[in-house]
Amino acid sequence: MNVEVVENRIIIKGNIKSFNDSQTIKSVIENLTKYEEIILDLKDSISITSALIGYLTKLSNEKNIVLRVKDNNLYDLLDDLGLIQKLNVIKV
Amino acid sequence: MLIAKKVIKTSLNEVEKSISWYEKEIKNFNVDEKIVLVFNELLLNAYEHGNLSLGVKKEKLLKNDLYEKEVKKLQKNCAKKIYISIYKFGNYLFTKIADEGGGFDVSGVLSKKRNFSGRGILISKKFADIFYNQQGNKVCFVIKITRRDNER
Repeated sequence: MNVEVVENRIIIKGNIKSFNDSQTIKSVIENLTKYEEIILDLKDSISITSALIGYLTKLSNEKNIVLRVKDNNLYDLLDDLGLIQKLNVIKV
Repeated sequence: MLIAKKVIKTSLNEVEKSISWYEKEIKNFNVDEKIVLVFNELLLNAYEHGNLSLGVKKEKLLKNDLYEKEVKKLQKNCAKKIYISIYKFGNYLFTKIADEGGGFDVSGVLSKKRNFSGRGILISKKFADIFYNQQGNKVCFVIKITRRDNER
């Protein structure tokens, strides 16, 4: 997994599949304190961990989260979890 | 046929290392790469809800940013192990993960859709067929091996 940050946008390349991946993204987000909105761009990830979902769900109470996903299965999964509105999931 | 097996300590570091091990062991099989996510979720469940018996405490720990600190403290005193094995039967790859915890209410978790706990299982169910024993301390997940183009 590779993470790139452009202002409040976090571009994630590769799959988010381990606890460490989730922790890496969490650390990146924690450094973006000045932004009210955080955009996560999941360029080609086909998966997301429950740990990251848990963190983003919690964070969405403080900040506006936007999750841009490309993979249909990943979008369906977030829909199944009832997170489309809460995490502002956009299929790109 | 047994492909590989591994016994790990109850440690977050060992869980993380096991993911690379698993990827290496299954690399010669043409399976959906989401199987690694399923493995990670179910292994993490065995670690935190099985051997460390975190249960519903996990939600509170995450909310208060105490999760890592608490699991690292708990794992220091935990002698329990996690047993992983990978099998191939026909065109299917089976992965079994067994912990030494007391188990959990399998039917309760499997029926909850949107609660915080059980999200890892829901994610796993999305990408593989998963089966728990009645006690809830052994899980097996199955994924089909597809033929590679050059095998057709």
